[in-house]
Amino acid sequence: MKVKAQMSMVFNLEKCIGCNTCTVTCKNVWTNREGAEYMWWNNVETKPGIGYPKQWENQDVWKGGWVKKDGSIQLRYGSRVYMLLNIFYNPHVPEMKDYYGDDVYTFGFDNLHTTQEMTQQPMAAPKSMVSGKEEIDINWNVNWEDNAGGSHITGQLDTNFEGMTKEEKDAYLKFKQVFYFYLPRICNHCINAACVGACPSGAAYKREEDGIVLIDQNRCRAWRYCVSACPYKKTYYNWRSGKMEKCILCYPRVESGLPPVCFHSCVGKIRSFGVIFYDMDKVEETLKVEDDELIKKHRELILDPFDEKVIEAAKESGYSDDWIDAAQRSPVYKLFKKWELALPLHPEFRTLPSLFYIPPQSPVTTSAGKSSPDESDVFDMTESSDGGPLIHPDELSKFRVPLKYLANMFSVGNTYEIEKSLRRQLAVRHYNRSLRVDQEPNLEILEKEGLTKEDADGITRAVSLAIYEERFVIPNTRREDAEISPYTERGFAGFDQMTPWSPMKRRKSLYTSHHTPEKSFE
Amino acid sequence: MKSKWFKITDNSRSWEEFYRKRWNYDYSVRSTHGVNCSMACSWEVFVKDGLICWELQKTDYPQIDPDIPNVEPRGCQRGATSSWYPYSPLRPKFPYIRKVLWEYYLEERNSGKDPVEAYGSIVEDPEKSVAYKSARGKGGWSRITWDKATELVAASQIYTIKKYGPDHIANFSPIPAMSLLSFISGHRYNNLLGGIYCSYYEWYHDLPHVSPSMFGEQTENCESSDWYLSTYWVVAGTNINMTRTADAHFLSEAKYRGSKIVVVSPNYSDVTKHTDLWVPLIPGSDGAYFMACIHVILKEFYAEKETPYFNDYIKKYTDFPFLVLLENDGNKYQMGRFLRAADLSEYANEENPDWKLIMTDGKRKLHLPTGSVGFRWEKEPTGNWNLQLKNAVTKEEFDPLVTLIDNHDEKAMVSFSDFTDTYSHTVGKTNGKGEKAVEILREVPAQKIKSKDGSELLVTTVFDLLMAQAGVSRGLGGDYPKDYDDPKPYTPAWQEKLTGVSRKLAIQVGREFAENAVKTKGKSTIISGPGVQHFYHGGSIYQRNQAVMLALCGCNGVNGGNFNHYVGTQHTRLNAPFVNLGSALDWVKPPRLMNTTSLWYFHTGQWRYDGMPLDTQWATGAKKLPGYNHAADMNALAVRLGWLPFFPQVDKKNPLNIYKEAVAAGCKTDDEVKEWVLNQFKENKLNFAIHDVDAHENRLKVLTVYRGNLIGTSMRGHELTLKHFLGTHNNVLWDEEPAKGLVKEINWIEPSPLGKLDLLVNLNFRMDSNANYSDIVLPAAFWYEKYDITFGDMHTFIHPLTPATDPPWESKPDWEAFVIIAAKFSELAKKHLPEPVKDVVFKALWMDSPDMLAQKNGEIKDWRNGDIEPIPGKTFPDIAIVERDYTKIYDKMVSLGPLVCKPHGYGSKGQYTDLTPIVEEELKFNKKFNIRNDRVYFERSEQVCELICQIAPELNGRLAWMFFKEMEKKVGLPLADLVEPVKQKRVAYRDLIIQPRRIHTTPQWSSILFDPKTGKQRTFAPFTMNVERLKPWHTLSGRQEIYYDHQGIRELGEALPTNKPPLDPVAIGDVNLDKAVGKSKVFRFITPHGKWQIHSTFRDHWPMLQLSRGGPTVWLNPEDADEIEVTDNDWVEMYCENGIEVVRAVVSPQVPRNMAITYHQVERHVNVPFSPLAKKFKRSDLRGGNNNATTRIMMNPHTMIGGYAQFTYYNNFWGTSPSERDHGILIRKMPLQSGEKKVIYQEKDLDQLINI
Repeated sequence: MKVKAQMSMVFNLEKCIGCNTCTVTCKNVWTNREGAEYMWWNNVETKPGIGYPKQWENQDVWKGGWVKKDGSIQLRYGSRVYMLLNIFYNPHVPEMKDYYGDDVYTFGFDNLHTTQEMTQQPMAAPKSMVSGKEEIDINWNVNWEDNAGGSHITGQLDTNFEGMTKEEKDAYLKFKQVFYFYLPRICNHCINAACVGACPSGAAYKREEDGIVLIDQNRCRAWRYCVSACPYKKTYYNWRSGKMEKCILCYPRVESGLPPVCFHSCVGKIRSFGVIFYDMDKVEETLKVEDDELIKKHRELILDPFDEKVIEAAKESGYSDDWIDAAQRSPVYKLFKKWELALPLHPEFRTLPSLFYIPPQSPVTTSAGKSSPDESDVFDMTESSDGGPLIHPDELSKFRVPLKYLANMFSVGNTYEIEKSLRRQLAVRHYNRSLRVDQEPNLEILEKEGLTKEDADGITRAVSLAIYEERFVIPNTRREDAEISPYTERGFAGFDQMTPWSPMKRRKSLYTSHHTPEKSFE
Repeated sequence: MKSKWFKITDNSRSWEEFYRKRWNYDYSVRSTHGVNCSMACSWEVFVKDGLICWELQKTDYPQIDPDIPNVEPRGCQRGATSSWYPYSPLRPKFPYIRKVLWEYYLEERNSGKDPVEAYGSIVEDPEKSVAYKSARGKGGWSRITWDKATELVAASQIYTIKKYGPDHIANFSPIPAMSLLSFISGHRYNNLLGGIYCSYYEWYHDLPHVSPSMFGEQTENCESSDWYLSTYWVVAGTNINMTRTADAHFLSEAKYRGSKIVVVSPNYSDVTKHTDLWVPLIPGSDGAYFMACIHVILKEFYAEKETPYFNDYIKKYTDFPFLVLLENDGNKYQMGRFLRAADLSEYANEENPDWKLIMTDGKRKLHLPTGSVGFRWEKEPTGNWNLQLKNAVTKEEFDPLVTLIDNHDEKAMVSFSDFTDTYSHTVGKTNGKGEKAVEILREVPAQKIKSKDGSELLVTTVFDLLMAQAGVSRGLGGDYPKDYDDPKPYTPAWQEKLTGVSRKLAIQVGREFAENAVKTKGKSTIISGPGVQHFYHGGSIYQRNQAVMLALCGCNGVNGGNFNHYVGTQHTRLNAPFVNLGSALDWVKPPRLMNTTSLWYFHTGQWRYDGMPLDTQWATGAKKLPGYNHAADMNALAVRLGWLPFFPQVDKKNPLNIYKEAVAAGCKTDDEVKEWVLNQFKENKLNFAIHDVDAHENRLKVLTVYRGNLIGTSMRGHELTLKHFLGTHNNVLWDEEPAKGLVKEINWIEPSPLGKLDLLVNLNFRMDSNANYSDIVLPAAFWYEKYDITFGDMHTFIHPLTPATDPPWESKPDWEAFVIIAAKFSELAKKHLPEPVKDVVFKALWMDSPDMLAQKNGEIKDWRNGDIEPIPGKTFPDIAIVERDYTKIYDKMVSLGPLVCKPHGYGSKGQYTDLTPIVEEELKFNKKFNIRNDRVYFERSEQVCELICQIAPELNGRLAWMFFKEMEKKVGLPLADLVEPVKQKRVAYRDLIIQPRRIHTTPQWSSILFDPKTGKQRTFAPFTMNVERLKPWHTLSGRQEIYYDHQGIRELGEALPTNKPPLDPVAIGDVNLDKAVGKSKVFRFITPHGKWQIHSTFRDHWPMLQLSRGGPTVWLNPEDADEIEVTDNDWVEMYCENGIEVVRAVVSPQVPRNMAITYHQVERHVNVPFSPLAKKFKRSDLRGGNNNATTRIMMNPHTMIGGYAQFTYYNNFWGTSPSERDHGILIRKMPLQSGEKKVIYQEKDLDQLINI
């Protein structure tokens, strides 16, 4: 057993309100600058839809992720040789039209202050944010399909309808059966990151201590293979700096025990953040299982932080008590592994994402109407449940969001994992209602879904009541492990360049260590 | 830790400093956004290298209860983009004036005139005034200094006061809650001048009229954390995710806690994604749906079985047991007024006997219970204003009869009105211009009683009337429906043809809602929004049906229950400082409070386009009001009876001159002047200005707008306003003015006046539409650049705005701006208004004062027709004489006046105390203030913030205790114990900066916020104080009022919960199908709050424009779009007689057919091209307008009733609303220039605009 710690995440889609506060705060802090105009390290998409960039999920188009081939795991893009052959022309990279249609736009606000006396009202017309070109057309952006805008057209290209008939798909793209929900996306900081695997310059790397995936801005040569290889299209080319950039999981904050800004600002409180331990030695075999086994194996890869053997192995790997404590309090561990409510997005990409999603519950409706209610057409949505006012876990087929659609997103088309999560969420609702309305706890419904009362109370706490410190359990980076003694460093912090042209040379310590054998400077 | 799964670079990872340096910042401050969204979120603003760089939510709110989710993080996507504004190219950075006006002014000044004379000679010059007015909205800016700008602003006001009177100056700035100090600044200044104090709440149509009329409260609703305690939610006409973004998490959290969620919404809105049950009804049919739910509840939980919890509740807390007279009307009865003490010999000698109502018990004994409004306004309180079921005279406790069904003398056949077919719910399908109501006769159990004069009276209970109205027969005769499937009003089957949703949905929701309430003792809630309220009948009927449904299920006044409407930011938590400092009541009373909807309806000329007679609105038995068959006529009646205010007041008279004339006529005292004025009215020598509202002397002259966007956002009838109010370009399509001949009370001037307003001044940090159309633009500090205080109705915390940097360029905080204007004004006044003057102020009858007892029995008596004598303050507006020293405006603005230190001198909402102990023992020893002339001075904005904290009972426990002590005298039950534990607690402004603080329980609010015994905090739920401490509601009966017995309301057929369809704009004439061009289709035009803006703010910077479609849009159903050959992202033109708007189509299957959604507020200053249709119709305004281009103010007569218990006016408490949803539009695909297929944006390309 080789224990690794990974900063991991859960997004609860039931709670996501699609507000994009996460998107905005991320933009504000990280990509509000020339060269990064079109970059959205965090974005939120409305499903059904094709997203940002267009059709990112469709790997027939983009060739992202890994595939199982000849008993091993390879980049779908092709072999390293193929990559090198195409190094000056990479055919599978989205262009501006896939991100923004004509161009990234702003507006001519200066017109509004005009001293010119006009015959009509002045107005700020659209113009390119990159070139300044006037009066460009606006026809796509990071959130074009917001709230199902145009989804009767783009939804046709949504790969998650796979396995459904044309008639079924069409029906879901009409008023009578319409549904939508939101999918917030950041870099998944995958255990088996394809961007890292594809980078010819060795610039993309996964940090030892916390598993955050970064692109070294010094080493990057902008070959853009990371864009092609990433099946989530979460690396971007900066035209001003000529480097690739991506979500950095706000490591400057995480290192200080603060969650990334998109987590902090998530006003729907859908996001949880925590450490998980996994077994390095099991990663390879996990990647090679059949599609149906992927989620099960992924869960097995995650180690139980309460297990004495795991604790011992974690210590052996150098993790301190507070990291072990954090792993034990990790909401991600509980939601993904313990209660099995959360699932990875498109596990078939085989990158082993560190971000898991709780699938959304959805309105229960059956309709006798035609296409729209009007004076001649009555909407009837009342198949009331036997289980009282709430739908019973056995009635999942009444859900408006088709289970197959969710399964295509989160469990390689297999509805078993989706059903388990939804049934458990419903059971917890029933249990809580029985406590509060009927004053008589319904434990039976929990047992049927394999949950105990403690589980149900824990789930309620985690998805409903959890305060900031419970949603985000983040151990500090152990600064004292850095090369230079913190005793010395605290006075130097910020003075890393005492002379403007070169870094300071510093001795590591005046003192001898009394504590850690391999370090002489503590 | 080497592994092949990790890229271990040999290089140092020192490059990681790159992003770390971005995160480094210099400091951060606590602030927020003074924007009108109600959410009041505390933010941390980060400053790096001297620049405001980004913001994140603060998460340090105190916890209310560990078993309720915290309110962190509060703050949404819109707020998070704020840091794009401070340095935005959109921002006006210097004072601007329109060049034409400036050149005229310089010319006059250079010729030797002083500022006041110079201004006067421009505005009175017809040619010059047309020239600068028609240049409005067309650029041509000149930069000027603050000194010159304030000079001109002050001069315009002095000129207008001298020539026309202070009632010709108005000040508009909405919503104190979002930034109280900024709000106070301009209003305090304006109220010291005697200008018009414009309301905003009902003008925004955000006032839910049911709240004043049923609860006697402007607005009371739960803080969002209280929702968590509810186990059955009905979310109707509100898109919580979109508009209550920071609170939306409670919905899914409550869902996990076991709550059922029902969403009532025509489209699959954001919030629908969470729901357990979706009711996709036709827009505007909510009233019908909830009437059917009421039918189900009455039948299943009242008629078929007894539900003890419900019965106990309605006896104590509603007017259901009160007796109502039945008036003989031939072979049937009409519903009459409440029976009163004055009617009965045993109680007629009580004080205020016309204002004390009667119940009966099972032994035929008539009781005078405590609690009616008559007890509230006794001269010496008897302590009987409470909700004990106790006879106030005999002191016996009794059990009132709710129904007479088992105790009746006869079954009276009563007349009810059915409005089902007056208009069609589908736009354009109404029969002709609309139909009149149809009579329904239903039997009601009734008892005979003896009146004081020996005559026999027939009475029934409110409950029995409601059972009959709702159609639950209980074996009684008349036109009752047989069962749920009988489509007579108001059964589940009846609602089906109006709502388009199955009867089963009404049965299921009605039943489940009530069952849940029985099991949880009232923890069922309705969260209701503008989708219900913004209709003509929304606040008065549709939401009322919801509120009554809650009352029937015992949910109001219970944590986890309640009628929760969140429209507008009306919980001005620090109410007393807001009312007293904002109105300058410490110096002068009364202010000129004005219901703004009526103000704009008349002054922008919109009344001339109101082609709607009120025939469709009258009950079948109506006799009096049909004589006033137009909204303008009703409004004129309301003004002369003191129901509503109106300014300017007196026809062609400066109120300063009226006083002088009275003195010249021999009056010696103020009382003699008042009498003289009244006699002048009686003799027809003086008249109200409203009767000749278009006359030159009766127009509004100078308007200042700040913290708001009147022209670009809230002005319904935008194009009509451009034409008549501002006198500039417009795309109005009306060929004639349809009110001609319909309106009787108002003088019709031909031609209709254009450009009625002399000067529009705007303080702004955006070059938005309001700035664009103003004459002078003053640069305002951004929210992150000033001190202020904020709060909202979604939570109970108070927190500050503090400056992250000083205001850049020449911008100034609102307080500072108005202080320097006040200084300039005072200086110029030394020459022009050197001596104190007396101002005759007309005041409407005011709520929460003895004016509530003005017009007994709710009878409409028009003194002009000789129905009654005009008596000021009773049957005529009150007349007040106010002294103003215009040279001392500055001094008064920045110091606390003496009037608050008088008995009952300080407070609000009818709760008053003497502030002397606070001023003398606290404020004068507070080193934050400057004490001069024995007065408290506060020139600097931090000082005013401190003052606000110190004189707010919500933050000063001693003051809360003082108020409760006063209130105990009336209520006669202990109340001050609620704040005993916080009596010593005071919160300083500095404390708020450190951490948001929660408010104390105070009598200004009806919620008990913590248990004084255990100290346990409770979430804010309205009316818990009424329910638990038996403090009455501020209504006639003192209970939740189900029956509105005012004659006017009865004649509207709205005495009981009912349903009226929304207006049909085709029937009324606003949509002229003959003007349909090409392939056009008519839609109901719905304008909800959007996701990418708060009204017009945040909509005009690129982050939000990139997250949305980048400009104005309309959402359409794909099949409708196909019909007019429109595909997603096509440009379309939306139009009706009122104007034209150009937008892009968002075609989406989540929208039902026949409904066009434009998320407001769409302004005209970003991405709005020219309109070929405007060119075709040869209009002067070719740019497609904003989303009010196609709307118009439509006022409901229900909202004009006044002078009667809770139906009494106060600013933002009661009054007319403009109607947001009763609009229709035609939509066509916009023809584009052939070849390039491009829209035309700029004037230089105008010749390419096609003409189709």
